[in-house]
Amino acid sequence: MQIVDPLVSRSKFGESVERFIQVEKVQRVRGISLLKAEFPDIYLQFAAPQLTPPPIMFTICFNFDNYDLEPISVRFVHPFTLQPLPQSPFGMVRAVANAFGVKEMMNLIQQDPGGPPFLCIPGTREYHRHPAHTGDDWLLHRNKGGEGTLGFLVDKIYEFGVSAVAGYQVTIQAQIPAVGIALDINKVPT
Amino acid sequence: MENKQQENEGGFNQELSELKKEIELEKQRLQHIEEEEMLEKQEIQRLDERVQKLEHEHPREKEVKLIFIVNTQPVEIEAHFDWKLEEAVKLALKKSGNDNRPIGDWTVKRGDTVLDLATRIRDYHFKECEELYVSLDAGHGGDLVKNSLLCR
Repeated sequence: MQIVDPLVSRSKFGESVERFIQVEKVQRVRGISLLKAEFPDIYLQFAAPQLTPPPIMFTICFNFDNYDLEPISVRFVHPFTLQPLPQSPFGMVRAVANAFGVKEMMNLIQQDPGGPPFLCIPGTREYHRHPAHTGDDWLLHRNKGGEGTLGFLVDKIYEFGVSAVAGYQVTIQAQIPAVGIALDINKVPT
Repeated sequence: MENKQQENEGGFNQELSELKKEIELEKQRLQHIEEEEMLEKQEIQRLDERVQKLEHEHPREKEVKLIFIVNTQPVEIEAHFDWKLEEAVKLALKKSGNDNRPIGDWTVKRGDTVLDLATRIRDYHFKECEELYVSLDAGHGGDLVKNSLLCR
């Protein structure tokens, strides 16, 4: 439900889209393309151009309802139908040193049982609405160095979801039904 | 008595002529110094003209235009070669209205390479209008780990 004056959210939505379009060429080089922008949703696609062929890592719907009284919602959608996905296709990880100084990978995409996957970082609506984060209100982050803006979220998704992608990982399970012997016809005695 | 007076006059004249010679020599030396000074001035003037001509023909570049992309917002900064990168970033953050967080909360990247804020602009050999990404290090440290665990 829209409780903020729609003009405010629309204006902020327009500003965000305009800013993205200003650097669209640069973003495309990083594999980020704008698919659709129609208030209140912006659909962006994140590919990994460092691989050949480049995979589509994420397609994300950024929802601006009640922005910026409420933060932007970040939802993973299908790259072609734009329908919400029940699971994120890939993880979004950051390396964190544990108590022993060993690097561990933490997945930033979280999911409650039966709920949709969401990006668990301050600045997303899903994070601030989550019961575990009631003590970390959105208004403590709003207007602090652009935290929670579309640009910030795009940067974080690229940083944790795309920049570290280094190659395809393929698991092959081979089954050999029989092993024959190859003969050289020229060496076969007459 | 007269002889003694004549002897005195003779000595005086000799001393006078020696002094006159000395003055003449001093004058010549002074003239020589003045001529040398004049030559040096001319040489300095010639070198100055040469420097001006060279600077005109090959102007020295002192600034480079950089485009900082702060949270996807492009900000143009004319950065002086002698500046530390930090100074240019601070300016970009101020221009984009994002100067309400300490500089240590930001990371600057050239492509995927993190740049050192204490390094001088000159040392990075940036191209004109090179694009640099400035992103907020929000969530780094321990908070995000704790929060991620809570989400599970």
